[in-house]
Amino acid sequence: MKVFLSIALYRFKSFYRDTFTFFFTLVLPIIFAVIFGFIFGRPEGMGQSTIKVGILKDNEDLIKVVERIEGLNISILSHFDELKSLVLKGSLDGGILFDGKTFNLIINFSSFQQKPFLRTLGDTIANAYSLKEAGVEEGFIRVEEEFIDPGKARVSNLGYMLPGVMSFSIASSIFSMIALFGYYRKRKILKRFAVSPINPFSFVLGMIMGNFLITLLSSLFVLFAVQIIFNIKFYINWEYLLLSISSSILGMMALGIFLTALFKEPQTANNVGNLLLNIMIFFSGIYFPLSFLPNYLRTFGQILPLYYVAKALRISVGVEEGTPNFIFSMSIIMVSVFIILVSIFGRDILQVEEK
Amino acid sequence: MNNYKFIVEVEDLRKTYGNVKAVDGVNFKIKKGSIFTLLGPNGAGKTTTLEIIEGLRIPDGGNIKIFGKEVKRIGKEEKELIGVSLQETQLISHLTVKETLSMFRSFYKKGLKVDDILEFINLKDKAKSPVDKLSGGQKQRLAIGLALVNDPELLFLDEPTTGLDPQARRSIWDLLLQLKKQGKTIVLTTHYMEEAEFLADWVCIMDYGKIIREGTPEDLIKSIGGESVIEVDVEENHSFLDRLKELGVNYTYNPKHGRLLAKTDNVLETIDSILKTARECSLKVRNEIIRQPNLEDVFLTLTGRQLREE
Repeated sequence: MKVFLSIALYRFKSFYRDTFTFFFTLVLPIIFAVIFGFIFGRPEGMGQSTIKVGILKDNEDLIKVVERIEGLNISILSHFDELKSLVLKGSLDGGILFDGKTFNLIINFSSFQQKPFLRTLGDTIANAYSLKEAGVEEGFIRVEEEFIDPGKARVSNLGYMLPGVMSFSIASSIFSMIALFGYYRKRKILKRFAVSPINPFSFVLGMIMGNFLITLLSSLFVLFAVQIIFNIKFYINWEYLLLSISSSILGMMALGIFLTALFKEPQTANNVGNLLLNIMIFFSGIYFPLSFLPNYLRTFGQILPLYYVAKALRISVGVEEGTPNFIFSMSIIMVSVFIILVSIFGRDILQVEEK
Repeated sequence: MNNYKFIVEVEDLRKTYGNVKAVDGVNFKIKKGSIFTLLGPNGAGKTTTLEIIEGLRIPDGGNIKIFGKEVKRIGKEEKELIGVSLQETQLISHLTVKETLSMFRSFYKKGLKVDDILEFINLKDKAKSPVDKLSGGQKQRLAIGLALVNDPELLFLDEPTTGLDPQARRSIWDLLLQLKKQGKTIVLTTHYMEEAEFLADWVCIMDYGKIIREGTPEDLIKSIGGESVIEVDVEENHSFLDRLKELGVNYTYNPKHGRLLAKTDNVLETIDSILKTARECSLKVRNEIIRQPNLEDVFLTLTGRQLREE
């Protein structure tokens, strides 16, 4: 235990003193959040990128729901033909129709190019309406014990996206494991530990604990920072948030260990990790919504682990609906994969000779 | 457990990598409290031999007896009692010297106080410096400090002075002599013959995975005969070399460096023969040195090569 704590403490110290890692884990996610935040939705007080939408006046329920969405300027119209004509002329960016079962969105394509948020309007309305269907009005309350508060936060594209920024910090765990299992071996740092009497698991778990703590703290810091920068208040379920972040960190560490096992050269593992991270960020709906993408790419996004990490985080901060089962299932899978890989590769970490 | 004369006994130690016999039937015994040196060129098998006894590598064959106990491979129990300074010590960056020592100290059940180690290795003023900011000599002193954290009976130091300037090398030698005074047994590898000569109580000369000769430095030097060695630079010329042979000069010639080494008990007669023959062959002789024979000459006599030729 003494060895485990000692290694965790010194790993923690070396981690936060490393300027590059500090930048990658803490500063870069915030920079990306600011850039994408301004592209996909401006924060309150900085001028909203307003989208003009028309709704037929007999869709009263829908009007109440859409009014809750930030950045929409709603025109209520009597007839469908009038709505369609205004959209075609460009006086309205889009029109929303609802027949009680299905949404139909009429979009002016010139506005579609200029206002990216319009691309995700359908999803945003669907999110907002599902809350309404659950019996939720402006001040949402928990309706059943097993459901998570899904919508105390105001439904906005930006609010929906920002929790995903934490995924960037979490994903940096991939590289901490490539450093531990790859670079430490290549640079013969492990050899110095191997001549001491330490248990390999105490060493590995100590290193992992050091990385884990710093990533957890970084993720929480990023969450608070984006709330302050964008003046957004998330309604956080702390139990679910901590579970989601913790299991996600371990899952990403497992991915890092897997890459190091797959590629003998740590630089290759690092490059593949970078490529994978970019793909995951692009296709997992972290910095821009998946609605941007065609259906087959959305499906591809859904096989990537970061998609589930981002979703679990959004559920935990109350901007997306979801059940505890989703969070528990994701956590169990991530932690199990982590335990299996650490058991396999951790045992031999201090072996200088390959079997 | 302390009732043994030899702290390490190695018998028929073998290690092969593919077709290469890195360690090929090595035998030696290390006396308690002595400085034992494995001397040889790069690739001779010194580091592999040492790393087997340190527990880093598994031997293909042979027996190891350490602290009076026969072991198949070095385990946790033995590692508690030994200190190791690797050929190349790489440490976790962004930690200070003191933090690094404290971390490694925490791995052992017993040991020295970190401040005492800092004082001994003369790095007290660098205690708060990051390890990556140390000079070569300071890093090497820290590596020795790390080997001392558990106050070991037996120290393994793999080429502790390689790449250091003469002053830094000398300061490491002083440290090692102090450790010997404290009663520690030191196992040293080196390819510097002057280091082995200065420090070692017992030298094993290794080449191609085998121990080709062992003994005290004095005995090894005496074994090659000759009171003096004459060294001269002279270009390669077969008639010159043949003529020297005819005159009974006992020499070796290194064509790569154009250097002739002659062992002799009669310096004046031999130098006269060399200079006269060179003049007859119209050759210029430069950089003449007359010196005592050393371990380099022992290695040259045994292998026909110089220690640092490769």
